[in-house]
Amino acid sequence: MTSHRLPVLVALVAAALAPRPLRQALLGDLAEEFAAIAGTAGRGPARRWAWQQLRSPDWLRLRTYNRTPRRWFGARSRPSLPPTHGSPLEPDPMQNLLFDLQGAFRTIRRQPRLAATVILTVAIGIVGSAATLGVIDAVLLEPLPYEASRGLVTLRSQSDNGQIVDGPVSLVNLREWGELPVFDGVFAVQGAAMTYRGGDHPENLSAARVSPGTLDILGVDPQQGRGFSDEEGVPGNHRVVLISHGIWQTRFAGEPALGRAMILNDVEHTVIGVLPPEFRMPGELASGYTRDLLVPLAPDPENWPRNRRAAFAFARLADGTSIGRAQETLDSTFASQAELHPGANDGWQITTRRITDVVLGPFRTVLLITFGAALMLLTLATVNLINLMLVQGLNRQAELAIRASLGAARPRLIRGLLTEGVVLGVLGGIVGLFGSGFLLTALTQLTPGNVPRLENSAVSVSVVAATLLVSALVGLFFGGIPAWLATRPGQLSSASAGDRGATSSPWQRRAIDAAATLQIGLAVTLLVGAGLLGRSFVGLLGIDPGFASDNVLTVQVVALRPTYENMEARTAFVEQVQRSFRAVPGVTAVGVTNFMPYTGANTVDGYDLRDMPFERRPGAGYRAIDAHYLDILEIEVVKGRAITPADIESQAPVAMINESMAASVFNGVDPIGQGISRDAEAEGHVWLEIVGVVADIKHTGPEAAAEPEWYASFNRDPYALKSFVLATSLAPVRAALSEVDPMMAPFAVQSMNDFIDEHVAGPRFNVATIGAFALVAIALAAVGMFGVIANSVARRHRETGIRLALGALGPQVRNQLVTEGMRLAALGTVLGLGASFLLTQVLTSMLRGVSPRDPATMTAVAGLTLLVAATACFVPARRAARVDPATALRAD
Amino acid sequence: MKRRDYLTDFEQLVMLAVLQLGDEAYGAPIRAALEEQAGRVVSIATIYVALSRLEEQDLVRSWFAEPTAVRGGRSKRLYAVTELGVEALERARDHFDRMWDGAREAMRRES
Repeated sequence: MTSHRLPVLVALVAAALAPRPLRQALLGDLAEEFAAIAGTAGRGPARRWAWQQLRSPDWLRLRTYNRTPRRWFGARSRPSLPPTHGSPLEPDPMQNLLFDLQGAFRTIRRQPRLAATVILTVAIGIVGSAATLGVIDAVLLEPLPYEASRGLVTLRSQSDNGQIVDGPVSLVNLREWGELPVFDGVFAVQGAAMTYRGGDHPENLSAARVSPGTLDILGVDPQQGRGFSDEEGVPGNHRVVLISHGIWQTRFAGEPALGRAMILNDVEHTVIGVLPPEFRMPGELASGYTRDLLVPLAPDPENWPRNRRAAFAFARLADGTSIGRAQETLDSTFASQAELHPGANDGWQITTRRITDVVLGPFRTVLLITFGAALMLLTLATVNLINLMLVQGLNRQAELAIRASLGAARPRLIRGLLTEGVVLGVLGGIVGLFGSGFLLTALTQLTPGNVPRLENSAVSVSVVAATLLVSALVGLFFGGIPAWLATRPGQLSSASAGDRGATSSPWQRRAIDAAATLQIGLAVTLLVGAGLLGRSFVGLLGIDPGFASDNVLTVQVVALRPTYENMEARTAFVEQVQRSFRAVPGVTAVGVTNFMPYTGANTVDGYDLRDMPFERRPGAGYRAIDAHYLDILEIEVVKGRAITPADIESQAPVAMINESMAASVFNGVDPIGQGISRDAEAEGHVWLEIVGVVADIKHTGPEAAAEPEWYASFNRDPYALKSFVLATSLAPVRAALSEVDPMMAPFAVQSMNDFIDEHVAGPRFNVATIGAFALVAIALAAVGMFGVIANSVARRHRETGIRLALGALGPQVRNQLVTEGMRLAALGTVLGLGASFLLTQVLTSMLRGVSPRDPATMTAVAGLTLLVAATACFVPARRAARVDPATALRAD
Repeated sequence: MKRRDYLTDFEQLVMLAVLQLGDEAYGAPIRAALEEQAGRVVSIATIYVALSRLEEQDLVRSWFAEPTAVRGGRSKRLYAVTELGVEALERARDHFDRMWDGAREAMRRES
């Protein structure tokens, strides 16, 4: 007999339901009878019997009689004691909750399709918010991976003419700033590419030259070994290297690497440490780019004049120093440096910003706007549900009336409906959380890799908690408002008078209409936002970068090895590569430059002009090109002539400038024939004669303004970075390169269009997200509108029948219903446009070439919304007009 | 709630079952007796609701008995009808008898 034990779940439920004094007895009785039934009829019937036992409402009534355990422990009841609690008609809260929950689940069971609709709508509404919250949690709220990251700031050069805003600074200046009491330390970072020879092929690793104190200031400890010592920042002592965790794993197979040698740029370096796996340089948090190597920045003071701005600088604020105070101190120091060293700082100033703002600032706006849009969608879904519940409430009027007549008080009825709402809301929230989990996985894979820490986005505990709380709140709203309206005094008595279902108070009708209007309004607002972003995106795609990108392949290499120490060797190398590339089938032309547009590579240096009455000018982009570069990128010569192959062969001292420079620097003076030099004080400098002016291109991206640039021939170029542009669709260029120098590795072979694409990935993502929200919004609003008209039709079933019987024509009836719906839709559209008029201002920073109050977008959205609304009204209205009058009149 | 001075038929049935079962009057057999003898299929909770109500009115009393293995080591709550309870039952039967007498007479007259 003991083998037939009461199923655990039954026991648990019974134990939860039974009041404590009776728990033992009840469970014992259940167990005994269960065993008896199982013994004769088998376990299956016994189990069914047990569950049936639990379904009795008397379990809850039991609590009414058994709230005072004392009575049960005394052997005898004590009738003389007054009841310690209120009457059994005012049951305890626990019982109420259980009762209401039971009621809620009963309703769900009875109307599974309605429940599914509600749960799904909540889920759709909440999925965007939950996913966005997951992203915000990971990207914005999580501190940066440095010690006390709020104290870290960037120090950047800004040119007075506004053309350079985030430029590198002078190392000589920086060294002096490091002594200022407002800073606990400063460090500089200079990107570098280093050719590593250790494996079968030479490979280019990405390195950064950093000040020796960098890791200390960031508060990062190497995973193994040590950081750089101050002595290693002196030229000659600097042949040491810190390797990334990835390099340690792949190139050293995770074996002890400390003390081992690495041949970098043909020079032996000693590995002194391994960086932690998650380590990123502060400038690269946004891109997620990992430097393979860190080497000490050991500037030779001889080669670093004060006016050479070539290192990106960071600092840690001293404790208690505000960023404003640091900026002030820096401004006055910068001014006194300018006095001491005339010409060095002219035309420049230094800006200080917190790294958190620099790294996260651009995403803060986007993410908060996305979150706002997601919340609007959630609101819309809630309103949609309020609407649905109102309509549903009308159908349940009869049930509520019966319960009211049986003595259920209004708070009682409202509580029941509220519980239903919360249960459905939370269930929807749970479904939504699963959805947002999938969405986040998709998001992290689809977005461009420029959102820092996006890969850490997850449905975290806090996201789950917030989501469930919000979905419960949503449930309170869509359960509460209809409940309140449906149980208004007078409402229930009129319902019980017999016209079941079809009745509704003006209050309810008004609420239904208001809900539909609100939905349309919200959808319109979201659509306007999406429309504006869409137009801006299309505009962005249409921006002419000023150069051709179709059928242009790019190859970037760095000729840094000692073999290419002097300019002659580099020039010979470039010429050889050009010849080799030209021999590749399909390649029709080969050009070369130092810094290619859209690649992020740039240098902004000072320069001198021979015949102008001023000395150094704020920096301009310096491009070292050959005679084919401008042709391949189709950059037009607007004045004078281009640099020719003959110029290059004869090393003629010629240069070109772009229109921006002609306008901003020469300011009306004809630049042709003027002399220009990178540094007139340098040994062996030659004045280059400006022979032509070329059209501007957008070097840094489609959204940036054109910068002043000047062009000289590549065989005068001191830079090691060489970027080839090949007029071809595809070419086995890598092989061609290795023919010239098998030790040389290109670090980027990419089509020019790839670079263009990277620059629009962010805006494309924004459009996709907000657009998706807007589409769901309009769909929900259409469903809401459909519901309103369908309900109106049902409400007027008999009226319509009478009108049709009296000779009204179907189309008349239909048009009247459509008109009724369209009035609401029009009102909603106007409200939505008004709201967008106020709200789209926040989009300003994300819009290019489109006003946030773009009339065309607003008009298009209004048209689309009215069209969708008309369709949503038309379908049920047509059905109503086809009703058979006889059937309509017979119905109730 | 005002204390009723009459018994519902279900309460009467429960009390009669308790009387019938004597020393073995507890939940499970009471439920079984109602099902077998009076055709009332009710849940165990319903039985205890009635018993609790009756106990509150001092019409039955209860105490714990030894736990048994078949009950998973849980003890029984045994019930007995009090003197007050027996009086109430008899009063109820009197009411029924009187009503029946009247009804029978009326039926006789009609036929």
